[in-house]
Amino acid sequence: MRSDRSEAATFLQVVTGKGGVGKSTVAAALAMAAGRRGHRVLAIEMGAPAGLAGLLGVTPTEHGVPVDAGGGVHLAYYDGEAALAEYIRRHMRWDRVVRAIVEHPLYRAFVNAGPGVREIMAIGKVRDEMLGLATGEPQWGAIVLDAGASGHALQLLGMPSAAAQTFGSGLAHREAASVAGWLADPASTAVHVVALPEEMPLQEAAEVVERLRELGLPLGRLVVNQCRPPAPAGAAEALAVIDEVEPIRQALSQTLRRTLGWLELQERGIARLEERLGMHVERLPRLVAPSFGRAQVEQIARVLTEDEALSEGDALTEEQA
Amino acid sequence: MTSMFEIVTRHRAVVCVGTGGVGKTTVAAALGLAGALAGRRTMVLTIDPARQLARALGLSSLERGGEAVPDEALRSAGLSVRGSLHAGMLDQKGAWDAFIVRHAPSAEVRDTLLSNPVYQQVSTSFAGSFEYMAIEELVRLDESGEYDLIVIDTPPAGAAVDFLRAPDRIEHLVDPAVMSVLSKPVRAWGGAWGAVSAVVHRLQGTFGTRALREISAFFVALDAIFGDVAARSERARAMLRSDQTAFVLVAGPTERVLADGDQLAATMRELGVPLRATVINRVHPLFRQDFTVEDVEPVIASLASRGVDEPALTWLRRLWVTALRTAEAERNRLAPFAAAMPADSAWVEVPELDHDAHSLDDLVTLARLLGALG
Repeated sequence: MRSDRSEAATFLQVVTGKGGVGKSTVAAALAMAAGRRGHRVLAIEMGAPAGLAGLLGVTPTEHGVPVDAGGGVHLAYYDGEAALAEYIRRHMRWDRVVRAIVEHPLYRAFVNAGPGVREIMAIGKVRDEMLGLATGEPQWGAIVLDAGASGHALQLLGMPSAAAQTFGSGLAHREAASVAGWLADPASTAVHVVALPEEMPLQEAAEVVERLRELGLPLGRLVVNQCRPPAPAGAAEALAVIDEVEPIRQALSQTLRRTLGWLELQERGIARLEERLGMHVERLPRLVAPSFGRAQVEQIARVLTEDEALSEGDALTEEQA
Repeated sequence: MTSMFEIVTRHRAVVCVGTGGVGKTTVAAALGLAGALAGRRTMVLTIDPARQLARALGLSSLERGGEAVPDEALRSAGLSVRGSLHAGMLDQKGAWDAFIVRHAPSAEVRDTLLSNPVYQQVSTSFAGSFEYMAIEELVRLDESGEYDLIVIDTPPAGAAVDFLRAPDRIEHLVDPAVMSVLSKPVRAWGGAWGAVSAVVHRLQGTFGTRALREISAFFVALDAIFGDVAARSERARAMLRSDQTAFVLVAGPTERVLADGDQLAATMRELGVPLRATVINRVHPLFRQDFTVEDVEPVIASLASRGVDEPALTWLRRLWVTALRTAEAERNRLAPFAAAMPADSAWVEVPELDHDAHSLDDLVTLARLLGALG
């Protein structure tokens, strides 16, 4: 078996974070940014098509089969159970035997009970794509994996290493150990953590980063989504002098107070996070649009590649809306 | 048309479902407090509580077994609670271990299972595991007879629908036809069916003999408690379907959350389980108000004359426009969603507050906004 790490021409980016922070948005944006740089990009969702499919505007219908989303990006969804069946099919020659195995109730019970079997197979398939094992040479310049909410993602990423210890010998052990090594190598992998500028997501992001460090997995970027640009000094003054004597003033005052309150929480939370982790946070803007779709993802992609600064977010919002 | 007050006073169980990040845990805590204020002995079981929320409830942390919110904490918040409020946290691993301890027929089976590496993986990783444990805890709390109302927060699964399907999934794992083979030691597997020995052979080659032995030991031990799992699953299904159990969907006005909410509501319709209430949390304060972009100009002018500088005024104008557009987008998104909900269910919109709820006062405010106070 050829040495995988040094020959991996492809770079894997994994995106995770608390539920609801905008992982799919960031994953889609990273994929589009890589596409704009001229790479052939594979974006992957674990499990059935969900957020990424909606944002990129295409829906894959078959496990593991990428569909062209334009801009150099292709989207696929990976189902662990299907990946396992595929793996067995590839390593065993006779179809009849393979079918008998895969449809057997014993096998099915085993797949459901076996420690992280589905996860290993799914992540192993990602590695195979990186190395171009199916076609003989790497097809993709970059792979972006939306690994889902942090609890599950950490399990997914930690599984090969855990499994290598559980499966004493045999093919699965060798596979697991190989995938674990490749995941831990910063030359081939980066794990990005996404948060929102709110207490719980920031707290969870801190815990995820610390856990990734414990697991020896290579950290990528720490991204805080939906940040507000700073208010000018006069804004607090305005709040002090608005007389709330009529509904319009009350509404404006309330809106202003809320925004200043959220800005304060945002700055405090981000400062605390940066200090705790010794990392710099990247901010993505809050975008307001009737519908959040491809155009908004492209805008986020431009911010991620620093083609745009955060403070212009609101100005662009008006154009979009 | 139901009200949230009726929901917390007329049911034995209130299950808060919905996707992650919408404030489900806080809503569950507020509903629990409302139940206690209404004179009921209430238990709130949470999944992912903020440290501050635990502190707000007067607890140093949320214990697995559940702890009473101290009277002093309630009194100092000016609340006279006629019932009582207990709060607990669902810890998946701990709950599974406790389940095994309760149902294992012997110390040997118990210890074999608890120390088995396959069990340790499986109990936290197979689909529906966490959800099943949440339901099992609900059933246990109900059977204890210690509570009039149990409010349960569900795991923040992307597909909240897993919660309803969990009892069936557990049973699939212990399918009797498979169990009868798997629960025999590995060497006996080959004898049963012709094809099985080929399967065992491949599995051994792929996964290693040691792993296979551990898996076999897992099923042998699991078989010993199988009867109980089936019985508990039945009890769980009955509880989910009872008219003493009310499902409350917690959602938000953002696209993704509403799409998830739509899916959950559709699944519940399919399964014939009614949604009693929908809470749209964190709506924009301008959501139900009728202002225009121009309305703000006289105010801007007056602020200018009060000495507020130009950059601040420009920023303020832009803030107003963004706020109106956000509110409008939310309104347009929510109208079809509301129309799809059961006609007799409660519909509550809770405005975005200027901070996360982190005190009993905040929970009372939230309970009031939910319409859960009498």
